Amino acid sequence: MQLDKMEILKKVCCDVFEQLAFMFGEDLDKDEVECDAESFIRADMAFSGYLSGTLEIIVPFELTRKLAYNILGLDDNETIEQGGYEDAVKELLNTICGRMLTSFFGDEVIFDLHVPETARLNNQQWEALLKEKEYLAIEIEDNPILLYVSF
Amino acid sequence: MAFNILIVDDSKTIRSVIKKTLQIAGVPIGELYEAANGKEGLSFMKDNWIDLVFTDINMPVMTGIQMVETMAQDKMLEKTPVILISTEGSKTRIDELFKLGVKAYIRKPITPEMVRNVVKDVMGDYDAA
Repeated sequence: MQLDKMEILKKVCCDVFEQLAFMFGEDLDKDEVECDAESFIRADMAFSGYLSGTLEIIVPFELTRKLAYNILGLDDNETIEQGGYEDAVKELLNTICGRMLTSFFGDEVIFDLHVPETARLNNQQWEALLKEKEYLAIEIEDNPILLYVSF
Repeated sequence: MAFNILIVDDSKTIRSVIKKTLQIAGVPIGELYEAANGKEGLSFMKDNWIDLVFTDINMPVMTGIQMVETMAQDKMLEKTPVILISTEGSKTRIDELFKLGVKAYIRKPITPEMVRNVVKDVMGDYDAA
């Protein structure tokens, strides 16, 4: 991916975290990433239309709790329904995807955004993806997030 | 006057967010209905009096676009105001949906201020009523 598109994607992702969940992010050098989380949620979604491709995000499971609670405006003593964390990550990805496509290609072209899907990853799988050079990293409240886009 | 509102979105999280945002925005709510796709939404509209519909665009089973197209061809539903809430950024597509009768568009992430302003534009100033 071109350098300017990588920077745009990172900025869009940080902006969406901030606006959707009041969580603040910054750029992260992948060589500095350390994460001992045991579990992660990976969400990916396809888009088609002007161009076809996929966007993917991988978030440490612990962070998804705060993400879901912040999006829903819940207090710590409130409970969240099963699947709520995955639903929050899907919505985050969906919002990032819409904003990213407009930032990359403008608002005259049409894209169809497909329904996001989620899967759980373990630390070994996370480490393997971290080594893939196409994955980008940002940091959200001291937690590393991986991003990948192809088109 | 309170509005009967239908929220159509495949994400339960987003339906909850819209519900909470409507409450914070002070929109007077009568009955609040939720549907997970356009097909379910149409079914609610046929069985219940709905004053205002909030809908996403990209949903499984039936998209928001297909739902709005169906509403435009139905004499009972063609005048029901629809507000889009979506990540959609294509001006071209939004313009097409406005031509089909959509009244307003809010781009996610939403805020109570956005919702308050748009509902007042579409339904009138409920604070003054």
